[in-house]
This record gives sequence, structure tokens and C-alpha cells, in this order.
Amino acid sequence: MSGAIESPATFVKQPVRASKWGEVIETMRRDWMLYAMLAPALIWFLIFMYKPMYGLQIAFKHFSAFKGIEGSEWIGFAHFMTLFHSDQFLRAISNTLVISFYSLILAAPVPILLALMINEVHSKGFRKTVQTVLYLPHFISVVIVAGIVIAFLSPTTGLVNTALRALGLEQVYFLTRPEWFRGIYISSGIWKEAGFDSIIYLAAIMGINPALYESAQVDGATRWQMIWRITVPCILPTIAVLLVIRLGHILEVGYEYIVLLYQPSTYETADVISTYIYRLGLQGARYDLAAAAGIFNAVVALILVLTANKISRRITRTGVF
Amino acid sequence: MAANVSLRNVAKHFGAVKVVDNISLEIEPGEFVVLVGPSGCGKSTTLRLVAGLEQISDGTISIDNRVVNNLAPKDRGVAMVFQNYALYPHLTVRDNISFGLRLGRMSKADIDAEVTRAASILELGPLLDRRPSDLSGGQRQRVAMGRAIVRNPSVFLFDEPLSNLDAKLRTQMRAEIKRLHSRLRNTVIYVTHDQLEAMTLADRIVVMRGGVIEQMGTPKELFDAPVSSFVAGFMGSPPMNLTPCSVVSNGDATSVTLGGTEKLSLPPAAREAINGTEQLTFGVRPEDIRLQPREGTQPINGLVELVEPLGGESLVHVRVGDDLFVMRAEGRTTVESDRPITLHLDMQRIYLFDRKGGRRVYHDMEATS
Amino acid sequence: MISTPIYSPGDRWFGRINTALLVVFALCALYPIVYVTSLSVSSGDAATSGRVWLWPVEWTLSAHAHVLQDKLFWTSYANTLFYTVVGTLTSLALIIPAAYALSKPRLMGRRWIGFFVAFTMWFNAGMIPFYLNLGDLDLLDSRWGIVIAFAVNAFNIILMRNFFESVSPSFEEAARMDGANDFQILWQVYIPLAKPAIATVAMLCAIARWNGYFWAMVMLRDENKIPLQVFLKKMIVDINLTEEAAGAMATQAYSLETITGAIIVLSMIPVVIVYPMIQKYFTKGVMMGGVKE
Repeated sequence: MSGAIESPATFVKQPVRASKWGEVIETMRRDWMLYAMLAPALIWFLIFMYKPMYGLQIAFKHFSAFKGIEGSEWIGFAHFMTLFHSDQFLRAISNTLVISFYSLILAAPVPILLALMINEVHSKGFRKTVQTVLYLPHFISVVIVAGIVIAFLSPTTGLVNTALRALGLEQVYFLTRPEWFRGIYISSGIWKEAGFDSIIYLAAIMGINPALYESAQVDGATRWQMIWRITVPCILPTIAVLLVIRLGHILEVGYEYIVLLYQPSTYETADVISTYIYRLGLQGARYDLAAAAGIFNAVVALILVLTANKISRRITRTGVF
Repeated sequence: MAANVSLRNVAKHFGAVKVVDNISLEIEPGEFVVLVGPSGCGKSTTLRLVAGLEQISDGTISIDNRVVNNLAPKDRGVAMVFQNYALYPHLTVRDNISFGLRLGRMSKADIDAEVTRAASILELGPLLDRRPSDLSGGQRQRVAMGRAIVRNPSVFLFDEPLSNLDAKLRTQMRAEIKRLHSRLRNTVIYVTHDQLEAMTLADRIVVMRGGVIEQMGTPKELFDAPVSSFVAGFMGSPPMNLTPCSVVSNGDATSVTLGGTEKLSLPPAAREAINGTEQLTFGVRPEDIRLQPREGTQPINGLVELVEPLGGESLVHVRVGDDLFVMRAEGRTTVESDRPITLHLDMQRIYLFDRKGGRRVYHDMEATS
Repeated sequence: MISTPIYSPGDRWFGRINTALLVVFALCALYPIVYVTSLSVSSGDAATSGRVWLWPVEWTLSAHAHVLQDKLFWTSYANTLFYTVVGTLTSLALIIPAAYALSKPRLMGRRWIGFFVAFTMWFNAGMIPFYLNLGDLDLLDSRWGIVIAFAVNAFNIILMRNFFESVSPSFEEAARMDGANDFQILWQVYIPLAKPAIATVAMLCAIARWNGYFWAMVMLRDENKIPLQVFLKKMIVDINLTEEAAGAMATQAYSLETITGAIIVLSMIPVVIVYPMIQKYFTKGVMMGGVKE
């Protein structure tokens, strides 16, 4: 090696990968079709996902529709200061966290329970029917769900109030009462999604080696014991990963459904960050301020999601349990 | 029809890993060459380099005296049969076979003629309108070959084509491939990890290891004159008994000790060949161990550990000190387990390998040829 | 567990209770749907006085007839069909080739491009810049705006890419030996092979199109372009929450409640009919997403 004179022969063989650019041109010539296939989607991402990111600068500007995004003047963090002195924004943050927290403890366990129960059904027909019925609400649009909720809770003619009247109780206009909003939101959410969300757990359960159950049976375990000693421990990693992912999304309470159900009298508990942005920006045309709220939300959400991802990756890799 | 294939100093790197390292190989027109070796030895990569599925990093590949380094697979005049057959499940057998022809500008009548020809060679006629999912493993294998045949390639490439079949079907398909080759007389490059397939099919076997050619030659050459303990241990079933031995020189006589206790004195030619090397591996084929003494045999004592009756013959596993020897005995042998036994080794047919590097240092060629 | 094991008496009771509870849950899932359906075919009088709770009372189709006479209902239904069919086809046309290219290890810059796509799942500009951007592109209040602005999402590309990656590379290699180029390989080999995965992605796109309302509501000013869900929102949510129209609308034959029910039922019918047939694709979609998420 040291000081060896390179013979011309070995020298000639090298320039196959002479330059990085030569290699790029070679791959382009070979794989141009792949790039042609990618191009439309990538252009789409550029226009509809990355261009708006450039537009995020209005959060630091005094946005004027006449001057446009670039022409508007910079004002630094003024909008953020405004937001953090706004009771409404702070309320939206706290509402978001509260709603997320409640759905985490109330709604998240339901799909697990359903999956465990469905797994105990042996009749194929019954099992399929139950699954079909339980998954159905997932496919019903939020508008219809809101419509059904409204119909149920209607103050004069709704079923709930009719029942209350029949019991001699006072009727309640639930949808105008802030104290009822979270309950309504979470329970209708469970109705809509719990069945469908059980699929992922059911898949995890199906992945358990049947021999575990067979040997437990030979050992005389009851079904109850098998659930607690085999099924639950085996799907714990899945549960943990999904829990972590949910935690990562704790700031993302969707506006689509809430916008349909809330009204000014329930903002107190119902207004979350995304609905606040919607009202401020799209309804109130305060684009710059709303964009600032959006940035704050997106950045915090990104950090949370990345952290959650890291943790869940660790769980899946090493199996914490 | 058949073409020669020539690999000169061919190399393939994936990053810093040299998967194929400076291989040179000349294949005659119509020759059936089998690349064999353990997984990861570079045999499949070599095949894929010839096919054009991978770009070579260095060297030249020519097919039919034409350098094909930068030619697309379809322009090389080769056809390939894949390990998992790669039959398109959504197409019928007919459409699978004619897939490549339909991509080109061939008239429908010509395509039909080609499909019919291939189908008659492979007896696929009644299956043409079925889908791959309705076929047995052997039938799928034949369809995969049909897809290769219709392209009239000058070189056939087979990538472990029989490894997905059960043992019985494998034997059957092996015979079929052999029959096909003797009929079509194309050049064939065939990759397998199964030495039995290599022995039965090949005109010439190329044993690969760690990206380089360990040895090439006719099946008989490889069996009788392995250049290294690696090849010796690879060819033959059961493989050659290979055991480390220590050399003891005592005046004019040189002997080796097996299993710590059993001494065998070496022929004079071996003594010269060893030339002072002390770290040796002793090799003897199971066929060259006998239960009765003969001319030129030397005895060693051991304990029968296991007798595996295979019907026509039995494999006897004998423990000699720390080593284990396998020998072939006849099917009705009276040898029983846990009994002492004396083995008679045919000293004219023994092998000695350098333990470092594994090169063969001694074998009496005349005894085996 | 393929066959039913032999159970002890205790375990049999466990099974029965489990079954009974599942029946209750299933009924809970169904009840709201049954309720609104019954409401929609009951008389307005019965509905307002709260006599409907499970089965129809004083059977009538007048609420349905009333809805079906509404021209806007039909317009929005047709619009939804357009958005669903054209939108889904557009999505597939963009997603499938991109996913195929991304699934090829030989694609130079694959990691970067993959990151470019996946990054949008973790971070996006949000509602306001997205909206302003649509305005810049002159896509507000435009049918094609709705179609194109929501045609692609990273998740579906990744779903599809995962499937393509699971296809044995020898399918591509065999086709390449036969002289096929990438377009031919995609069209003649991978797309037929990927039919189930494509169906899954198509269903995900279609159901999102059918059920989506928010952006259509935000973007579209022209009533003739609105999809069914926006029409529904106008008819159900907006009117009910103001409660003003309620009295004005009520007649003997139908009331706000029965009209609401009828609109819900009429818009739900296609989903409920098609759903059992496509259910398996969604189940598969969940699994496919779970593989590498």
C-alpha cells in the first residue's frame, strides 16, 4: 500500500464512477420513467403542501390582502404576543387538552374491550355480523352524526328530553349547555369510532400463536384466565404503541365535528385550538393571527408526534413489557 | 442458436462489499454450467450480472462474442427462470408464456406458433388456459421454463429453479431439465446450492465461495480432486470426512494421529508433499472406508455411535477419539450402535489439506483416476 | 382458534354473557340509525310529540317526498357523485405511479423523496395558509379545486408503497428480462397484482370524498357546486340549531324532525348498501397502515 506505484492498468479501471454527476446522469437516463411517475405527485406536494408552508410567514407579518403575502410588512412576534394575552386562545388550549385527556381515558379503552370480546366469539356468522354492525358508524359522515345527535337531544321533541319529561324531570337543551358538551362529544365519538378502532387490536390478537391457548387449555385455564394471562399481555405492546401515538396527537382535536356541534354558548368548553383558528381565520378573516395560532399548534404537535414516534419505535423494537 | 459466454475479471460491489470479486469464466456454446456454493457466495449475483439485472462494477461480460456490459437484459439474448417462477397470477398460462412476445412487435399468429411450440416441448398444452394458482409446483416450474423457451434465447439462466419443490418432484424436474437441455442444446448457466443437482446436471461445475471461484471442472474432477477442504466438504453426500490431524515425524516414517489416539502412517509421496506443514486436515470419503482390511488399508479403532439405515445402504457414524467418521456400509450390515469397531481406511485415496487456507497438499491422483 | 374448544360450564356461561353483551353493543351501534329511519317515515305529528322511539308511528313517506322534490338535494347528490368518482380516479392516477416509483430501491434520492412526502404527515402549514394558497391558485369556488386540492395524501402513498414493496422483485425482473419498461411493468404487472391494495386505497379515497364537508363548505360559494354533505349541513345543523324554521316548516304530514331524518336516511343509503361489500378493504387498509406506521 504505502508508496506503491499504481500501475496504469488499475488506474484505467477506476473512472467508472468518475464523478457524482456522471452517476446522476446515468441513473436519470436509466430511471427517467420512475421520475416521470413521481413528478405529478411531487408537484402536487409542492403546490398544496409546501407552498402554504412558505405562506406561513404571514404569522410574522401584518397581513394585507392588497399587499399580498410577500408585500405585507414584518412585525415579528406581535401576533404571538397577542395570542398569549388572549383568554380565548388560552381557553382553546386548555379545552383541547381536557377533551383529549377525557377521550384518552374514556374512549381509548373501548376498542380494546370490543376486540377482546369479539375474539371470544366462535360462531363465524355471529362474529362477522357483529363486526359489520360495529364498524358501520365509522362510515357515516360527521354531518350525519351531528344531525343524529341534534335529533336525539332536541329540547322539545328529542328522544332524550321526551324520556326526561316522562320521568317527570326537567328538560334540558343539552347543546347549549357547556357542561354537557364534552360528554356529548366523547360519547358520540365512541359510538362512531370505537368499533372500527378495534380492528387494529383484533389484528394484534389474531397474530398470537394459537398454541399458547391450546397449551393453556391443557393446563386447565379458564377463558377469563386466558384473556388476562395470554391475550392482554400479548397485545400490550400494541396497546402501548397506540397509546403513545394518541398522546402524540393530543393537540389535534378535529374541527370538522366540533364545528357542527358547538355554538357560542358552549364555546366555554367546546372551543378547541383548531376551531378557534377556523373562526378567527376563515370566519373572521384575521388570517395573520390565525396563522400564528396555527404555527404554534403545528410546531408543538410536531414535537409531540416526533417524541411519540421515538418512544413507540422503542417499544416495538425492544418490547418494553 | 447456442452462444458462448465469457466473463473476464468481473466484479460487483455493493458499497464496500465485494459480492463478486474478479471472476473469469469461459463457457462454451451449448455447455451446461452450474454455479454452486453456500448462500452469500455470489453465485446468484453472478447470474444476475450475466442477465443484466445488475450492473457490473468492473470487467467484461460477452455473450456470443459481443460485449454486453451496457446492454439491457432483453437485448442480451438470454432468458431466465426464477426461483419463485415469477408467474403473473392475473394471466393465464398462455399469456404468461407469451408476455415477452406481446411486448415486442410480433404478429399474433407468430406468437401463437411460439406458444404452441413451447407448450409441446414442455407438455403444457392442456394447461394453457389455466391460471398459475390452479397449477401444481411442477407445472408452474414448467410454465416458467416455457416463458424462457419462447424467447429463443441463446443462453438460459436458471436461478435455483428447483428449490421450491419437494424432494420427489425435484428429482423429476431435474431429469426434465436435463432432457430439455439435450434436446435444445442451448448454453445454460444454472445456479443452485444443492451439490447433487450440480453433480447430476452439469457439464462443468463452478464452485464459488466469498465472491471468488474456488474451483471449476467436471463433476468427476471436483469429486475426485477437490482443490480445497471447502470443495471436498461441499461435494458428495454424505460429504468427505474432514478432521484436523497432527503430524508425527519419526525418522523416515511420517504418520498422522486421528482423534488423538489412532495413528496412520503416510505414504512416502505424502511425506514429501507435506514438506514440514504441521497443521493439516485429514480427509477421507465415506466410500473409502471399509469394514474389512484390503490391500493398502490401515485400521483405526472407534465406537459406533449411530447407524442410519437408508435401505440399500447404511450410514455408520463412528466416533474416533474426538472425531466423527461416517462410512457407507451395505444395507444388511450387522453393525450395531455402542459397539467398538475397526475401520479400514483406503490410504491410497486419502486427502491432506493445509489447515490454514484449506488448500489441498496431498492426494494420489492416479489412485482415483 | 379455528374450531370451538370443549368448554367447562363456567366457560360456557362466560361465552353466553360475552355474546349477550356484544348483542347489546351492536344494538347500541344500530339504534341511532334505526331511530332516524323510523323518524323519517313517521308523521310529523308523531315525531314532534315524541311518540317515535323505535318503530315508525303513523307511517308516511311525505318527508322523503318533500326532500326528493328539492332540486338542490339532487344537485348536491350529483355533485357528490362527481367529486367521489372523479376525485378518486384523480387520486389513484397520482398515487399509484408515485408509490410504485418510491417502492423501487434503485430510485436515486429515494430516502429524500420519501421524507419529502412523509414530512407532510407530521407537519403541515395548517388551515389558513392552505386556504390562502387556494385563493392564490384561483381554486376557491371551483369544482376542480375540490378535486385536485385533496387528491393526494402522504398516508395513501405510503400505504400503496408498502404494498408494492411487498411484491417479490422477481416479478419486475422477469418482465424486464422480457423487455418491459417501467411504464409497462407498472401497468401490466404491478397494477394487476396490486388490485386488492388499489381497491383499498380507492375505497379510502372514495369514502373520504363522500363524507367530506368541511373544505367544500369553506371553498364553495355557488350552491350548484356543493356536495351532499354541505347540503345536509345546511338543512340539518344550521336550521335545527337556529330553531326558527322549525315551526314554519311543520305541517301535519312532516316536521323538521322527519325531514331531518329523511335527509339523513337518503344520504346514508348508498353508504349502508355499499359498505358491507367494501368492509374488508377497510379492514385491510388498517392492517396495511399498521405494518410500517
